[in-house]
Amino acid sequence: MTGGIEESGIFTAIWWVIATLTVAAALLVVFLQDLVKAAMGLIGTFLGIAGLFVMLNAEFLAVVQILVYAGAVSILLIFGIMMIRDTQRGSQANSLRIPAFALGAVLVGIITFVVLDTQWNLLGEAMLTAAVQAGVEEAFSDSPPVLGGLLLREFVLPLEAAALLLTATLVGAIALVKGE
Amino acid sequence: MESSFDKNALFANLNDIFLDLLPESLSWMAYLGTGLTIILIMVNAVLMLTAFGTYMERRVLGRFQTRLGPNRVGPFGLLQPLADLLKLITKEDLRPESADKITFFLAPVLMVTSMLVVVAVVPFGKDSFLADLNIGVLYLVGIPTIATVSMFLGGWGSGNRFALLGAARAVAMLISYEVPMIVSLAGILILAGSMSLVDVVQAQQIPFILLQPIAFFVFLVSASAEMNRSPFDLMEAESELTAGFHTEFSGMRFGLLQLAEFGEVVVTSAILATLFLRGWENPFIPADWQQVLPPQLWLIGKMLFFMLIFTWIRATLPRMRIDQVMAFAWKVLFPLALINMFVTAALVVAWPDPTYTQLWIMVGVNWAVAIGCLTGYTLSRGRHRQKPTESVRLVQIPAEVN
Repeated sequence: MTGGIEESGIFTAIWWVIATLTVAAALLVVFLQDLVKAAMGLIGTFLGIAGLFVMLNAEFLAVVQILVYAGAVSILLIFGIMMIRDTQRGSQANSLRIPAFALGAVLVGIITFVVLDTQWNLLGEAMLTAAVQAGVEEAFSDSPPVLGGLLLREFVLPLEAAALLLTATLVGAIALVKGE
Repeated sequence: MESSFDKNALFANLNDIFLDLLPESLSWMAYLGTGLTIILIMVNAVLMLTAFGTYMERRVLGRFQTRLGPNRVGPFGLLQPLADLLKLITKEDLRPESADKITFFLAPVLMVTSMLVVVAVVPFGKDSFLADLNIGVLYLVGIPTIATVSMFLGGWGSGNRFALLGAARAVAMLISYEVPMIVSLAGILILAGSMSLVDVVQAQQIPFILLQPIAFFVFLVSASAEMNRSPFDLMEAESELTAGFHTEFSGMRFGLLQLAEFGEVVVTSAILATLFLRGWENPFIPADWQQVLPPQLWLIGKMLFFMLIFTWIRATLPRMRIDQVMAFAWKVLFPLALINMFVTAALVVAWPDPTYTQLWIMVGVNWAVAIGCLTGYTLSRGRHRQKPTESVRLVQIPAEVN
């Protein structure tokens, strides 16, 4: 740990830049009428979220975010958009915009409440023993083995269930395409 | 991010130099200065290698096709890349009227960026790397997916149907080849026990090219598909699509796309050297060869070797059809990568902490599996191929001819 960098506020500055860009890209997704450009905004949002993961020392999540969302999901999305005839004005506001706005406002309210109300500092000074701190630092410095161990030991049943579900989806998609 | 300072002597020394130069109040700039200096060195090294790579590729292709290749500019034509660059910069930069301004501008930039950013995790020596990420191997295969997106943006943004068709083809192919590529690396990760590239290099008592022959084959093929090079260059199949997704790009934009394409060869060679040929260490097993060359030169030598192999592949193999390409990814490479993963996992479970002899037994087992898979595939292809010669006979020979 080099203290000078931590205290200089450069990380906070980078965080603000990334956060602003992410929110701006997300707003583009909502407000642009051209579907392909909206999809590009979505890619920007995914990349911004990956950047925030990096700021949180979660490099694994960041790279998986780029690999899966920015790399694969967005491509499939763009392929889907290409099948639609009128992409230039494809995303227009309609009569549902007021209920949608109300729902969105409620969602924002709930998330804000949860963020403000949660006691984030669970490990107070008293509980932060040397052993706990060492464990936390190990998990941060080398997270993939920790994640892998958790996935394959404690959460192996959900993992297998997800795998089964995905296989079933694949088989179903093939069956639908073959049309029999 | 602090990890680079802890692990890397180069970082620490440069940081100290900057700290001495800067006043106390600006000490945070030392971090930026250190990072930017090393980034500058890395990026320039890759760009110079890319420039040399284009020259080498053209000369070697010339040899293969019994002609000379570029030999006029400078001694042996060595300054040819510079001449190419000047030509591209001075050319007119056209943008078709139907093109989308933003995407047309973004596509080449994004492609070059996603190529250059990968170099960050490649270790050029025990103490000369930009970042030792604990997910380095995943980063290597994850970041280039942005190139796929930018390829699509370029094809779509050109407002040209050939470009869009080329981009659609390219994207379908690239997404398919990412799967065997990632799964083939699983065997290496199991053996190395870490995703950090520095650890992967140090785990190679025996080069992984010997321990993981199937993974090497699958990765080499998928990587040359990811780079859109010759057996897989059907996204720019000249006879069908004029030039694929970069039909409409001209001037320096085209130059950037070419730079990204050749740069990817350099970067992929670096990745192959790091993952399979012990990276910055000597490729041979006796360790006392270590002092012959400095680590950076070992790595660059191996990169040149793989660049030569890629040129060789390009000069030798004809272009494949799109259905052949897709079938090859899903029906050959993906099962091969899975078999490799299972065999390696079984071997590692049997010997969690292998001695040197046990490692050589692993080499034997893996090569036996590789040769078995090859033989099985060849035999099944042979049976398969006999069918069409009987059924697809266009002209029935009348009986009275005989």
